[in-house]
Amino acid sequence: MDDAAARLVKCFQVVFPDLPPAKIASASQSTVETWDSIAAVTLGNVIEEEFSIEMDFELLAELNSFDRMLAWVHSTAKVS
Amino acid sequence: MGEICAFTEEHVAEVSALFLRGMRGSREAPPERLQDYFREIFFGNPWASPEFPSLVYFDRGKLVGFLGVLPREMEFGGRRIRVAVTSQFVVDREQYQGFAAIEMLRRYLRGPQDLSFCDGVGEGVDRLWTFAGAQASRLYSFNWLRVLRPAGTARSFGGRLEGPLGRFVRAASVAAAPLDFLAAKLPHPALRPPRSECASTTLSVDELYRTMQEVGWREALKPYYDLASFRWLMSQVAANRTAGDLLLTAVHAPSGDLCGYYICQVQPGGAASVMQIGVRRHDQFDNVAGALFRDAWQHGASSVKGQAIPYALVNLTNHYCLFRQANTSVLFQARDSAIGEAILRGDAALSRLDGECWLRFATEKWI
Repeated sequence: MDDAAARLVKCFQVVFPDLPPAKIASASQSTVETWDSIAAVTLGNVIEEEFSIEMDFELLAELNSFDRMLAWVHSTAKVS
Repeated sequence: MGEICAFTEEHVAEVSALFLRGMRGSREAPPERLQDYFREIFFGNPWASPEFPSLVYFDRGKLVGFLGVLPREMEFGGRRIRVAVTSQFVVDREQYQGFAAIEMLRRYLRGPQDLSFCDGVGEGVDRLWTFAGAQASRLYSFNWLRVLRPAGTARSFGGRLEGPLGRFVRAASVAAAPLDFLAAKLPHPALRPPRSECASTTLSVDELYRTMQEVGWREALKPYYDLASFRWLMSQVAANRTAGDLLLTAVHAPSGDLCGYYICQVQPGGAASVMQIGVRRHDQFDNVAGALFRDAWQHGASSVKGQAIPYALVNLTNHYCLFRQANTSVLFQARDSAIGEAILRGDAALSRLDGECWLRFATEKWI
């Protein structure tokens, strides 16, 4: 797991504290019951702060899994 | 992704049921009067327009989301602007898992309105709006409270508490009236019955409308009412019996000059809620506020509360008002940045008549 993924896992832990750490990397909106609109926005805020990047509201509904979020973070933030 | 449609009358029963589930946690069938209220507010309002539909969200054919939209009009810089006020933003979290709220909010914010506005928003929706690029007006999110009868105020606030503290407050409430009687004798102006030399005159809705036109607003952003829509709006406010008696009052100085007016709902023994205060000149605010507090006292109110009025914060402080940041926010997104700047600097005549605070969805006991 690269540095960005490890930091992203921590972001997920903040927003979804009940989600077992082992399941975070495979998490998606369809598998995490509490991943609704407000959780998505909260996650977006945490990620914005963690990586010092800005997330477009228009993108939010599409970033609906850990994998997609990680790909977006890699493409947007200057991280390894 | 589900499907977003314009709210039509055929959706009323399902939306009413969704409201009861989402806002009240009830699975009871929606009563006819709740459905009538949805029809009256969203289809019977005088500003209703297909350009500004309320939205419903379907997931696999099932209605799981609703975003109420009320078109309104305001004036900015001498021109009329279109405002879309939101109300009753609800998603069925039991039967649906997804991003309906994001998708409905996105659709709404892309509408043709000059100003997207809401003023009764809780923390979660606040986060959604601000992530979408809206701004929170912390200034207009402040509320003020003028305590008239301290024990009565404690009783009306404490009466809502649950558990041992709530039971204690309710048990002790029999002492509220004698305590307030004694407090009113203490030599402190904050505790004594408010006095004013100004005269209050009860107005009809039409008289109030004419008074408002005479008084006007000096802020850059101001409400626009025509008589027909104002009559409808006031009939809705008056129908909110749980908020108490509606007072429509003009205030005149001892010289006979009109100072301004106030619109207020008073519950004897409870709070008086100010819907709007208007003044001819800002220096006359104290006259109107003084008359308001005196009248509220005489109607038996234990306190008076209202939304922050930026130009009058010092006046309200001098009238012994307390300020608190409510747990709901005033949020907006303006197409013209000058409108947003006016709101942020407090140069907007926003009142409880202009958002969703006059609606009865939250206050009425529907079931």
